[in-house]
Amino acid sequence: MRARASEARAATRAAHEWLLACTHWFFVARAWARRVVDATFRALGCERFEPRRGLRHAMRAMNAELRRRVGGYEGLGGDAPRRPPRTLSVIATCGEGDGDLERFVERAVNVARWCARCGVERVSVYDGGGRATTTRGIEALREALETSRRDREGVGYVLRVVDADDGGKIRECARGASAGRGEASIDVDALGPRDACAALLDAARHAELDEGDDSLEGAIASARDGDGVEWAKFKYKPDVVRLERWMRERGTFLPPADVAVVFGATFHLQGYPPWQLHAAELFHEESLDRFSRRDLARVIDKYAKTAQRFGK
Amino acid sequence: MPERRADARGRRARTIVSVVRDGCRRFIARALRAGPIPRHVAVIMDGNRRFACASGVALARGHARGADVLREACAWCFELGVETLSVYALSTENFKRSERELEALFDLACGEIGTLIDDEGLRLREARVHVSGDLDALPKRVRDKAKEAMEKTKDNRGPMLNVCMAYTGREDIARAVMKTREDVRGGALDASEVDERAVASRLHGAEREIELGAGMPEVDLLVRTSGETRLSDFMLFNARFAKLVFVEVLWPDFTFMDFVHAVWQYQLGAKDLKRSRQAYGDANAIEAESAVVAEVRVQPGRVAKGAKRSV
Repeated sequence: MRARASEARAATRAAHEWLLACTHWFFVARAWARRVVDATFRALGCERFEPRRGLRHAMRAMNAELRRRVGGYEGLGGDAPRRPPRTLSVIATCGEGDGDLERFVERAVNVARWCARCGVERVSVYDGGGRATTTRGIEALREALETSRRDREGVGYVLRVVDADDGGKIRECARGASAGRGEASIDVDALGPRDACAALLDAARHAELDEGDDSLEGAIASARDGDGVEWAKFKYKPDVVRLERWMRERGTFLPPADVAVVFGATFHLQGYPPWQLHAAELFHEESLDRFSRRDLARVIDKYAKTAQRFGK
Repeated sequence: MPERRADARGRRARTIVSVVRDGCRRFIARALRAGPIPRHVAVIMDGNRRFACASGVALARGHARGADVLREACAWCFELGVETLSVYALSTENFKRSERELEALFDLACGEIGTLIDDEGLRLREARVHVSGDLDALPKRVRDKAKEAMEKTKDNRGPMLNVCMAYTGREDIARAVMKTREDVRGGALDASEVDERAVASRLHGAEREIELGAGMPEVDLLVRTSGETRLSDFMLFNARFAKLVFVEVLWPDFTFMDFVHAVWQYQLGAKDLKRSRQAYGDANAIEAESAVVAEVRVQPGRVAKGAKRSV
């Protein structure tokens, strides 16, 4: 009886594994089929029907275009930035092997250097494992930036770290003037898990946030009264404004990222400082080791062409 | 007479199709449960207006279609064993839209919240409805409806539908930080005890969960439709270790298979997510949320006591 029960269980498990494998191949085939359809539409000059959103959507869009040819159509609006991002975040996890830290630092500095050449002003390098923010890691970063400045392209740098034990204060720990042909310079932040919420926790422990800001309160009051409606038409987000102001005064404010490139097999933020990513365009790359200058140019190009409506 | 027979045949065909479709869904859900299931799924329901523009219909129709898909998504999630489904219904940034569109959205919200309260599927699963966000920023009729939904379902012990309205992640974090600060000043909490858990327990929705004896689980899987690859200020604190899935389809076109695809991607990366949380916890000397692979099969809509999900 027991043998029969265990046989039945084994058979059920095998059936489920077989079904999961079928599901896997179904999705792989579906992804390929979508690529083929997408390429076909593009070849026919019909990519505006967005077949990547599904065939049903494409059919509907074709239908709607026929109707729109009669009447007017207003798009949803939103502008693409048409410029490189000001701040870019690199989110990766350094391996635990002996040579991994040096390799991680070298790749991160390469990205920072390429960003400087593309017009990016600030790069935040986040190591999910925390090795890059140890003393050894910071020293390796500093050396790599200095080597890059002296030997390759002469890109200047300012290296900053977050002091998690001092409430997340951002301190400059190294600086090198740009040299050589170009005048490009880049600000580099070295971040780790301990820095992710340091500023927020410091605010939770010490901040004096309820001191009224007369101009802010007045603006909120007039928005409510002027509209004559029972709800505020536009929130000025006073809590957010006060917290950010406090962080700036404390020197713990990290500027928000325009673009975040996440490296690794699984697309997830690895505990990156949450406050900074509220409006970031997120990109996923498999490996920091294989990330090239061309890949960075592709990311920056995509960011420059992506319309952002900010809720509108 | 022939028309009546045709109608009857049509109805029978539709019944057969829906029975077969439901059977397939249950079968696939059962297969998925052999792997890790996300405890908390967050969805950014983007694309209603683009759907309406592409279909040549009014924007309100697009939003209404999106609301229909939300009801279906609740059924898919809870049948699979997801404990919390958070959806980004309305951001405070959306208040910049035209008054006409906002009025239509608020009318739809009132109607949909009412429908959710009476939904048979949610009632059978003893689902709770929670509305996160600054309710004071909403019109009174929406606020009252939201409070009514929360009041009527507050004693339910099943999965939670967390509807985020007049919500942004930064406001949520700022509010939680301020509440923590007030508790420190009032003596309810010592400054040395302030850590990420203390702040997380003061986020929207978390207080409700703590009343029930459990913390709000972190987001395991975050799905955004319409191809945009941004969080748009949603669940910033909760989704730091969530598997991110950005799909090209618009929300009204989101199907069960798209949902299965997202969960399958989560299952592929579950070990990485667990390792990442562990590394973060080690670095911060916080006990990472660990989970044990459960062999208990959770019945649809019910959370077995003590059952956990493998991450």
